[in-house]
Formats: sequence, structure tokens, C-alpha cells
Amino acid sequence: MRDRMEEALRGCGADYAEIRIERDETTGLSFRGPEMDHISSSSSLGGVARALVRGGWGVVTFNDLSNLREQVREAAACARLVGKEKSALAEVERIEEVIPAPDMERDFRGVALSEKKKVIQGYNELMLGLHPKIQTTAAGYRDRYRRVYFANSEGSYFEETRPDVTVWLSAVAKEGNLVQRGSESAGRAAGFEVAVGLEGKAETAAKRAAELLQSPPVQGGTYTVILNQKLGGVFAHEAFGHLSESDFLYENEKLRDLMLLGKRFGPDHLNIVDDGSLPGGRGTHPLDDEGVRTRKNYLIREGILVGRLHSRETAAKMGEGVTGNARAVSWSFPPIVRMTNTYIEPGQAAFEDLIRDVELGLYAVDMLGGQTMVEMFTFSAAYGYMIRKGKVAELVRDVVLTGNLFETLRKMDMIASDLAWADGGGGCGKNAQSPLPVGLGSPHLRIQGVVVGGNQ
Amino acid sequence: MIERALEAALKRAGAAEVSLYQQRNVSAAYEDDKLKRVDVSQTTSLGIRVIVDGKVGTARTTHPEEAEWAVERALALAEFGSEAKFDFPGPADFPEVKSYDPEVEKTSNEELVAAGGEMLELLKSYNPEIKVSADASWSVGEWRQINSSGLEVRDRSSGYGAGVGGMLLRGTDMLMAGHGRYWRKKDVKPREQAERAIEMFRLAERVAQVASKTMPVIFTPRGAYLLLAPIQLGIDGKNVLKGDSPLAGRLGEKLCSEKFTLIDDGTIDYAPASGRFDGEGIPKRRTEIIKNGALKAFLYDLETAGKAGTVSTGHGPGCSPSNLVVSPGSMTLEEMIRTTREGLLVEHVMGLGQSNIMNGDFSVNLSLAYKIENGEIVGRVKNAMLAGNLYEALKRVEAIGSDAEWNGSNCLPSIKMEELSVVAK
Repeated sequence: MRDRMEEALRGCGADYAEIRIERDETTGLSFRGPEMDHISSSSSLGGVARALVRGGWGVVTFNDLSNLREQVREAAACARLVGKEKSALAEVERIEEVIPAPDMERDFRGVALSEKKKVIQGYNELMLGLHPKIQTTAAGYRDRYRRVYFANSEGSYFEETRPDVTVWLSAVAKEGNLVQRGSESAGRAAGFEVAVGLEGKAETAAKRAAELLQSPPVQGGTYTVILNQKLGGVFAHEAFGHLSESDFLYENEKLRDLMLLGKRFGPDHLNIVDDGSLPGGRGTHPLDDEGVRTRKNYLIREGILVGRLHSRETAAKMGEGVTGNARAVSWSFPPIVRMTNTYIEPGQAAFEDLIRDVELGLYAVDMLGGQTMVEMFTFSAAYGYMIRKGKVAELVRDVVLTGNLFETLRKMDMIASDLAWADGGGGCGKNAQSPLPVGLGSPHLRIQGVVVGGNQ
Repeated sequence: MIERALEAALKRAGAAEVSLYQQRNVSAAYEDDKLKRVDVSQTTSLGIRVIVDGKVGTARTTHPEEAEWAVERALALAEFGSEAKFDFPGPADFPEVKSYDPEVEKTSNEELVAAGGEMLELLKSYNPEIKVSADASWSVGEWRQINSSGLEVRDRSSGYGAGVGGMLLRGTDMLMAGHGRYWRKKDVKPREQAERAIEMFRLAERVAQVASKTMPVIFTPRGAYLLLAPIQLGIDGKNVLKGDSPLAGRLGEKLCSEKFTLIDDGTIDYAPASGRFDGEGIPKRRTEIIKNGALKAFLYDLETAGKAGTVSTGHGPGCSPSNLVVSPGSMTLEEMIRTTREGLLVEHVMGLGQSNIMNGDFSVNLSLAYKIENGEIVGRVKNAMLAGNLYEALKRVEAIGSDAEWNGSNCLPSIKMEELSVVAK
């Protein structure tokens, strides 16, 4: 493969060119209610050729690998139509590396379909039988074995093997017209062991769905809110992390001013990090999809904005160092600036310290999802508890938090010491590239004056 | 080649289906006022579905020459597959539906670059401070499917799209707005997209205050997609079969205001989700979903229809809608605004899908909405949410607009609700 890729890149007439080829085999199965819903396999082999001419990109994605030279030529022709200035890419070390798959205790490619089915069926039946109000369930499994081959016109070459296993478990409880859901998931770049021993998660999902049926919706209003670790991680990723992605900033002077390095973003105790080299993280890779080594990047240190995430192009255009954050979700996309493992560093406080003096507040737990539009964010907790007179009180549902990022970071007055990582199998979406595996971590966080949606 | 795959599958399967899809897509993208990329994508996908001993197995590959692998895989998976209570359909009388325009693939890369550039320039000439993104694209696809019941279909489709959006930053206040259109015929006017986007920016030039309370809310044809989201999930035959849908068992029931009629129509010439047949070889059709407020039908594919004891409605695979059309009313948007003393006009929301949307509950951020006072738009509303239950809200539709407009595969008019709960800071 390497020879063919390098041959195709030779003398292509672009300032820079690269080819990434991926082979991917996926098997998935799912239950919905008591029945098997879906079982399927897919195999894909495809590539993307990217060329840079006078600052303009041409991108060609293809399944036909018989003429790589032609794909590169077409990418260069597209790029020539675009380019009007000077190409700029940050200098990086030349890479020559074959990265093996992370440890798999049990390689899922050797696990019989019957066993995959049996394991998931077990969780599914557990959820169905847990409570009479459980109306239906969804339980699914997916494994993916992905091999990546990368070569560029600067002589860098790498191969990487990326296995991934995800399991999702969800129970739906129903009473009259009211429907409530409890969901848990697991996902890691590892073997079949990820999918085993999740009975506790299955129970939790079903129990929560049933309990939420009995719980009132949260009263809309403004509260002191404690975010649990998973939700704190979503907040760091969604509300702040995306603004640190430099492809969003580098051509926009006003946004650059807004995200000016050295500017105060939060209290002294606030540190936010993105680290693609973190051992065992869901967003961990030794190299990003431009062949740049990943590393630990501080975004906010002691409340001050100190860094951001780059591709080679954005780093060069902003005159900053590379960070190893150019990632692509599959062969059908070029790499773009993405997060890896994003987390808020732990502080000093205990959880009890966060709630002790809260007269009326909300403890928001886990995530359904999150979304942002520049400084505005909305994110949904899976559930929550009211905090009354310094104590965690009754369970509430329909917890949707919204606000302005800059104000919210300023009002983050306490950070606990209990950093934890979300072990979910979800991923991040950006510009149609989804789901990209990312790590989300945080300790418990306390934020003053958060707007919570709900009935007035 | 797909014939060989079918033959191979039938050596061990009782029934089988093979489909082959090939697509070419070209686009030009502008970001932050600059032309950034021209992309070309050429993709192939071969799908196999088999029924072995009454159970279904499926597999997919990007390489037709690996069809044998896919066949083997599908056969192996079928042992563990879900029960097949259906057979593949034979040939049928397919409706005549136009979904291919030969002009589309004649579009040169230069032409796409020019279309994007035109939209960019228009937005910049309205306000040079807006950072503009724009894209123009076309695609053509060819679909072939054969099955063991003698079906043999082939269709070509095309698509042409143009869209423009911008971001305006003032201090920490950011405003984003944009407009685009996708159609299977090359009659999308770049200029129109830019003019619509400019109109949104114009209305948002001033910022207005809103207090938390219930008030009338008007959704523009773009904003009205919020109202369709729960219904789309609710009419999905699989959600109905599994009892997840709050609409299950309620066919014929009066669901909402008499003013509200919703039709699924896969036979509209050149509409984005139109075609002669669905992905399982079943003729596409026009289906009344809600007529004058009464629930009339659910959407089914082959597998789900078999289990539910009914027939496919041409929405396979996946029971998802084709083009959703809300029948327009008689009131103009201007009239709706003029007759509102205090209310909101909603253009775009975000955070949908995070509340219990199947249930009809929503709690969404108003990413682009305008305040109406004494019959006039007075400015943009910031930091506010809209909360409520869609099914409750649809019982109190005050008016349906005469201004139906395509947005993706939905064709919606403006819709005015008597009142919804607004949560403001």
C-alpha cells in the first residue's frame, strides 16, 4: 500500500498533498423490546486525497483504489481553482510509524456472533424484567476494526489500527401518555471485554426510567446548579471546547479578539485541558490524522485562556504551535480541528462542600445531549435532584440547562476534587463528521444562577 | 454483477435482495469570507439482505467485487437475525416521478465557485462585518435493486443545492443566520438564498427584551420543523409497533386543531425525498397522516409492516417519512404578525432532541427569534427558551399561513400557536 500511495503523491504539482486510506469492518446488533431488531455487518475500503495549492484545498473521496494518482491529480485540480494566496502549514517532524492496535483482552473478531448476541440479550432481558412499568428497551452492540494508512508529500507515513467497541442500553417506562427513559452506555478502543459485565448498567437504566415516571418535571427558573462529572465533561466539551477549535477562529478577527490568549475566562481554580495522548482515553491517538503527535494542551490555566486546538494550517496561520487535533471520522472526510479527551482539572472541595450552603438548588446528573451556538449553550441532564437546605432532595425530570458560556464560566464558584471520565460510547459531531470518539472528564462543578428550562 | 450476488445468496437463502448505489457529489465551500475547498466524492455501496429459515440478515460493502464476502456475511448473520414476516415485493406499477435533471451534472466546478461567490458578495454588500459561509453543490446517483421475487428496478436521481449563512459579532453578542435550498432540479437561485439570509439579519438588527410568560408564538416555515419532530417519531411504524409512540392505538382519533393537515408525499416531482419507489422496491405514494386534526396513518417498511400485520407504505427501509407537507392556510405571515399584540416569531431553535421529544415535550433555546409588539417586529430575542408539549400546543393552533415553503424535504407554512411558555433570563 505504502509504495502505491507514495508513488501517487510524487510530482502531483500541489504545495502539499496527502492520501489516507481506511479499511473498516463493522458488526452490529440490536434488540428493541424482547425481539432482535437488527443484525448487520459492513465492510468499507475507501480513501481521501487532499491537496493544497496557494492556500486552497481540493478534496477527493473515493472507493475506487485502482488509480490513486488520478485521485490526487483531481484533488490538485480542485485546489488550483480555490487557491489565491500562499499555502501555510506548520512544520512538523517527519513520521514513519506503524501503530499497533491497543490491547484487546479478547479480540472481538474472534468472538462468535452467538456470544455477542447472548451477552446483549442478557442485558436486555434484565432491563425488561426489572420493573412492571418498563414498556420497552433498546440494547445494542457495535464493534469496529479500522485500519488507517496515511502518506503525505513530505515523506511522512503511518499505519494505525483502531478497534472500537460500544454498547448502549436504554429502557423506556410508560404510564398513560408519559414516557421516560433511562440510558447507559460503554465504549472504548479495546476488545470484547468492554461489552462484558455491564449488568449493573442495565439495572441502573431500567430502574431510573421507572423512577423518573414517578418524578415531577423540574420547575423552570434560575438556580444554583451542581453538575455531576459526566455533565461537567459535556459542558467543558460543548460549551467551551468547540470555541477552542481554531478553524472556527483563524479567519475571523472578532472571534480571535473574543478568544484572545491571556484573557480571563474564569476563576483562579479553573483549568481546562485537551489531551490526545492520555493513556486509555476514548479520544486517544498517538498521531492525529495529519500525522502530528498528540499532546497535553492547556486551554484554560488558572482561569486564563492559554491555548487552543490546531490543525497544521490553523497553527501556521495563527503563528502558534501544533497541538495534534486534526481528526477525521472516516475515509469519506478530510481531517478538521477536533477535540480529543477534554477535561476540567480537579479542585480541592468535597461534594458536600458544594451543596452545604445551597438553600434551593439543582443537582443535574448525566447527559442526554448538548448543543451550542457560539456563546449560547443548551444541554440536557438525564435527570436531576433538587437541593433543599443543603441536602440532595427529590428526583426531577426534564432538566434542560441553558446560558451564555462566558457568564457561566465566571459563575463557576466551586470545583470538587473528584475528577471522573464519562464511560459512554457516544461521540462528537461537527460538519457532518459524526460520531467521533472523544473523552469527557470533570469533577463535580458548582455554578451560580443557571437558567433551567421547564414549566413556569 | 448484482445478478451474480443474488444467485450466490439464493443457493442458501430462501429469498434475497441486492442493491447497488453509486453517487458522485461535487461541492464548493466558502468559510469566513473565503473560498476554502472544492470537494469531489465518488462512492459506491452494495447491500445484501437475505431471508434464511425465516430470519433476516444484512451486510454491506463499498466494493462490488467483494459481493461474495457480503453474501457470506449476510447468510451467517441471518442465523441470529430478526424474524422475517414478509417477502420481497415483485414488480409493481410505479408512479411517474421526476427526480433526475440532466442539467445538474453538466455543472462545472467553476460554476459552483461562482454561485457561492455570488451569495457571499450579496451578504457582504448588505453588511461587510458579517463573516460569511456559503456552499454550492450538486450530486447524481444511480440506484439498482433486484430481488428473488423478480423485482428489477433502476433509477437515477440528481440534486442541486445552494446555501449561505453568516455570523455577526458585536462585543460578546453573536448572531447567526442563513438560508439554503436543495432540489433535484437545477433551479435553485443563489441570489434568493442570499436575499432571504439578509432579511433575517435585517430583522435582527435590534435586540428586544422578553419576560418569562406565556404568549402567542408564530413559527416561520423554517422554524416550524420543531413542530414536526415529535410527529415524525410518533408516526414511525416501528415506534408504533413497539408501543414507544404516544400515538400508538390512536388512529382515527382527533389529535390536534382542525386547521392542521399533514401529508407524506414521495411523488412530488423533483422534491428532495421523492422517487418512484422506496429502498425496498415498494411504490412511493401520497399518504394523509393527519387530516383536519385527525390521525389517519402510520409509516411502514416491509419488516415492520410484516410484524404489525399490515402492508408497507413505501417508507423502507426504516419507516422514515419522505416529503412532509403541511397544508397551507389562508392567512399571510404579515397578517399573523399584525394581529399579535405581544408574541414571538421563531425562525430557528436549538437543543431539539434533548428533551423527551417522542412524548412531544420540548425545551429549546431560541437561537433566532424576534419579538412582536403591537403587531410589529421590534427586534431579536436573546437568552430565552421555549418550553411545552407539542401535542398540547397543536390543539391550539390559531392560524396556518398561506406561505408554504420547502426546507430540506419538508414543505411547511408559517404556523401561529395561541400560546406557548417562554422562559427568559
